[in-house]
Amino acid sequence: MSFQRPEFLLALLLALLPAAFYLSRYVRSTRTVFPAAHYLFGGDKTPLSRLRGRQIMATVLRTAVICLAALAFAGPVLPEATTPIAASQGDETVLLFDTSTSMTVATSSGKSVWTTMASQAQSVIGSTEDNARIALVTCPRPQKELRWLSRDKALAALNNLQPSWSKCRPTPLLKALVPTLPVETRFHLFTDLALDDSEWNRLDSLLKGARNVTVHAPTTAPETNRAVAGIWPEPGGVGLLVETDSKEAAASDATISCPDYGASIPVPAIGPAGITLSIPVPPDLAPGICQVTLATDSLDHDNSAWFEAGSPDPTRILIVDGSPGHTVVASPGGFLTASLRAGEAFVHVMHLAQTEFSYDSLRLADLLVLVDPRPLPEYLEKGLIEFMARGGHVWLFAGNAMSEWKSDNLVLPGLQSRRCIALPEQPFHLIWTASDDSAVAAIKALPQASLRIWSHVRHTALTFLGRDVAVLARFDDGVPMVVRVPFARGELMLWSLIPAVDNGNFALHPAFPLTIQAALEEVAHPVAKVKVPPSCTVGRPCDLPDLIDGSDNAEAEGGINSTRVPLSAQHELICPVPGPYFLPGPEGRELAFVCRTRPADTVVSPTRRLPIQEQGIILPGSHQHPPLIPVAQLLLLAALALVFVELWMVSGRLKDRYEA
Amino acid sequence: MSVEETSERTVPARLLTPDIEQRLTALRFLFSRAVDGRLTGVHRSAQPGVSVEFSDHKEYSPGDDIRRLNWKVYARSDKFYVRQFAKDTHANVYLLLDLSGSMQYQSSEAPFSKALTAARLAVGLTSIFLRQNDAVGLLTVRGDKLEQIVPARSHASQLVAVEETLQQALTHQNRRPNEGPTSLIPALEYLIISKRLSRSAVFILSDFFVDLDALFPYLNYLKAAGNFLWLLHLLDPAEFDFSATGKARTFPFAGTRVFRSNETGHGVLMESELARPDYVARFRDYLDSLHERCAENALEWSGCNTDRDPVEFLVEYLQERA
Repeated sequence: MSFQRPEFLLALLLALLPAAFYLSRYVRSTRTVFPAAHYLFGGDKTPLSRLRGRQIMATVLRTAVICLAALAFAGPVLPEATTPIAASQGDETVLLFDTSTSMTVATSSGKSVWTTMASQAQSVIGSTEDNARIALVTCPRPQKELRWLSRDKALAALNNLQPSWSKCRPTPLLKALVPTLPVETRFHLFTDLALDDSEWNRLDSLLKGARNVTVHAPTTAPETNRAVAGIWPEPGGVGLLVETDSKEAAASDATISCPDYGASIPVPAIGPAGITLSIPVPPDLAPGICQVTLATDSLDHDNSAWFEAGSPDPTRILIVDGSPGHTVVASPGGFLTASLRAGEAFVHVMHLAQTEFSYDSLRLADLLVLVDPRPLPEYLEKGLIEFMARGGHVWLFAGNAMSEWKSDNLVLPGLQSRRCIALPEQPFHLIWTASDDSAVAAIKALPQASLRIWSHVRHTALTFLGRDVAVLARFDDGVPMVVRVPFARGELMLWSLIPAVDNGNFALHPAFPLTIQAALEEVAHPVAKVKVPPSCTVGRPCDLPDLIDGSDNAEAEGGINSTRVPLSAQHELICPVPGPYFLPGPEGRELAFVCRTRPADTVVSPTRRLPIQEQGIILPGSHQHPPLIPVAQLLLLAALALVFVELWMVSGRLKDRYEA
Repeated sequence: MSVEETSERTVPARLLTPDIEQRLTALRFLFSRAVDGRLTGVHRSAQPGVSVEFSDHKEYSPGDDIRRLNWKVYARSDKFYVRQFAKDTHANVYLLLDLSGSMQYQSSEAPFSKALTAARLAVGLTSIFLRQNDAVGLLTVRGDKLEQIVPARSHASQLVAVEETLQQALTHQNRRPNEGPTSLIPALEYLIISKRLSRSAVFILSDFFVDLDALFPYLNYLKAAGNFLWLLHLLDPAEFDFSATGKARTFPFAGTRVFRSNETGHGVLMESELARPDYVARFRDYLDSLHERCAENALEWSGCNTDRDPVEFLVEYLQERA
C-alpha cells in the first residue's frame, strides 16, 4: 500500500492522546474499598469492571477514529491483484484512441478533434526509438490482446483508424491495461474528454495514482454550440427542436432558405434543456427542399435541418344535405356550392346526401356543411365533436328536420326548435348585432335598405345550452339568424334558415353569398404543405424506402457541396456529409432525403478539463498502479461509525459518572 | 489524610479481656418489658408468680388458689378477690451479628473493624446477661445466609462458646471477603418461625447496609410479639461519624479514587472532594429514614462508631436507660 499524501501519516501520532488520557486518569485513581459506596452514586450502581471496560473501549474507539481519519486523509492506494507482468522488451508504448462520435466534431480552428489528435499521435509515434514496440488500442472497441507493431506499421495503422459511432469510457480500459504491462510502458490517451461526470471523476482519481499515462486532449473546450436535434411538419410550418451544450440560455437566429424564399426568424433564448420552435412558412412556397439554419456558432455542426415544401392543398368542403332536392341546382346544397365557389378561395367541394355521410368521410373535410340535417346517430355526433375539437369547422343550416332532433343530443344539448314564417305584410328584418365579427364585416358595406326586403322566409328558432355563443345576426322578432358556437379548436356556425329557392328570397338575397364568402375566408386560408424528407445518418448505411430499386450505377447527388456519391446498392448508400440529397429513381422519379448526424451525437463537447491537466497534456504520474478500491472513503466511513458508537456510549444508557 | 483499609487483619486471641470483664462486672441490663422465662432471674415476668412482692388484685375465678383470697376486701365489698404477686424470671437473649463483607471495613482512623467491634460488644453483652442468669444465644449472618447458630443457654460455659464461635467467624470472614449484599432476614425468619420467639430480647449488631423496606416488617413482627429489640448500628467513622463534632471525619478521602463496595463489587470513579457533600447528604437521609422507622415502631436504636470503647459505649447506654 502506498499513500498519496504521506505527510498526513504524522497525524497517527495523535492516536497516542486517548491512550495517554486514559493512562493519566488510570494512574491517578486509587482503589478504595468502601462499603458505603452505594451512597456515592445513589441507586445507579455501575460495576467497576464494566466501568473499566467502557473506559478501555472508549480509548480504543478514539484511537481507532484518529488512526482511520489519518489514514483516510493520507490517501491510501491499494494495488490490484495483477496478472503476471510480461517481461519488458525494449521501449513499449501503448496509444489509446478515443474513437467516439464526439471526436469528429470540428473545433474553432476548422479541424476536427480527431485530426488534431491523430497528428499528435503521429508525433508520439515518430518520437519513439527505432526498435520501439507500439500498440494501438481503440476505445470503445479495445483489442483483447495487444498487438505490438513497429513504428512504420503503427503509423500505417493510425491512418486507418477512424472515429466510430459509440461512446468511449477510457477508465475501464486503462484499468484493465495498465496493470498487465511492465512499469516502463508508456501510455498515451488521445481523447476530447467529452465524458459524463461519473467518468470524469473516475478518470481523475485514476490518473492521480497512475503511472506513465499521458493524456492528450484539446486545450480549450468548444464554445457554446447549438444544434437542430429534430424537425417535424406542422400545420403552416415546421417544428424544430433546438438543443445546446451550454448550461446558460442564449439567444440565436434561424434562417429559412428555400429556392425562391428566404427569411430570418428570431429564436428565443435556448436553455440547457433545449427549446421547441414552431416556424411558420409561407403557403406559396415553390416546391423544393428548404433549409432551416441556426446562426453560426463555435461548431458548424448540425446547425441545419431540411424540409420539403409542396403545393398547398385546397380547402376540402363536405356538404351533407339532409333534404336533397330533385335537382342539385335548386337544392340548398346547390345554392351553397355556388356560393362557396363564387369567391377566390381555393376550395374543393364534395356534395353528399346525409344517407351517404359516414364517420370516415369526416377525415376528408376541412369544413363540414350540414344542410337541414336529420338527427345524427350517436357515433356521428361524437365524431362531429371530435372533428371540431381537432380544429374542424361545421356550418349547420337549420330546416324542418331540426324539429326531429332530440334535446339530449351531444352536439346541441337541450335543443328546442320553433318554426317561424314571415308574411309580406310582416316581413322579417335582419339586424346584424356583432358588427366586429369578420363574417359580418363584409356585409356592413351593403346599404341598410337591401337587408330589409325579406318576406315569406321560413326560419327555425333554435334554443340550446351553450357557452361563449356569439349571435352575429338576428331577425327583428329576436330570433338569432347566424350564431357562432366554439368547440375547442373548431367552431360550429349555425344558420337558422336554409338557402332554398322556396324559402322566401333568402338564397337570392345579396347578403347571403357575401356572408358565406366572408365566413369561408376564415376557414379556407391556404396552408403550406410541408413534409420532412427521409433522414439518414452521416457515415452509416442509409435505409431508404422502396421508392427506388437498387442499381449499381445509381448515384446520389446533392449535399451542401453537391457531392456525388457512387452507390453500389440502395441499402448501402452512405452519405459523407450532412445535407439534402436527391436520389434519381426509375421512371423519372426521384427521392429527396437528408443526411444528418445522429441526434444523440450532435451536442458533444468537453464539459470540463482535468484538474491536473497542463497545456493539454497530463504529465506522467508516479510509478503506481491506479487505486481500485475507494479506501479513503471506506476509512472515513468507518471512523464516522466509530464516532457514532462513542456518542451512543456517552449519551445512551451506558452514561455514568466516570466523566464526573 | 491517608485513609486506607487493611486487607488482612488478625483476630485477637481474647475478645473479652480480663480488664473489660472487670469493668463489666458492675453492669446490669434490665428490660423494661416483662419477659417469659422458666428460670428465676432478674427480669419481671409476664406471669404472676409466688414472690413476696405484691403486684395486683384479681377477681376470683374458679381454680384460683383460695389461700390468696383477700378476706379484708371481701368483708368490705362482699366480693372475692385474690392477691397476685410479681415473678422474677430470666430472659432469652439472642445476639444477631452481621459479619458480612461490609462489616470488615476498617479505616485507619478506627482501631477495629466493624465486625470486631460487634464481636466485642456481643461478648460483653453475653457476659452481662450470663451474670444475670439470662440465656444468651448467638446468630451470625454472612451475606444473605444465616451462618452460625449458638442456641440460647444460661450456663456459664456459654460465654466461652459464644467467644469461640465469634473467633471462628471472624477468622473465616477474613478469608472470604465478598458474599454479595447483606440480608438479615434469614436470621429473623429463624427466630420467628423456628424459635417462635416472644417476650425475649434480640440484639442486632450491624451496619444496616441492607434493604430497610424488607427488614422492618420482620422487626415489627418481633416487636409485636413482645420482644425487646435493640438495633446497634456500627459504623466506621469514615463512613459516618455519630459524634457531634465528627462531621469532618466522615468521608475523609481526597483525590480521584475508585470506590468499590466489598460486598457487591460495584465501583465508582469519583473526585472525593466533589463527592463528599452529596455522600454526607445521602447518608444522613438514610439515617433519618432509619430513625424514623425505629421511632414509628418503638425500636431501640443506638449508633456506635468503631473507634469507641465498647465498654464505655455500653456503660453510657445503660446509664441512659437507668
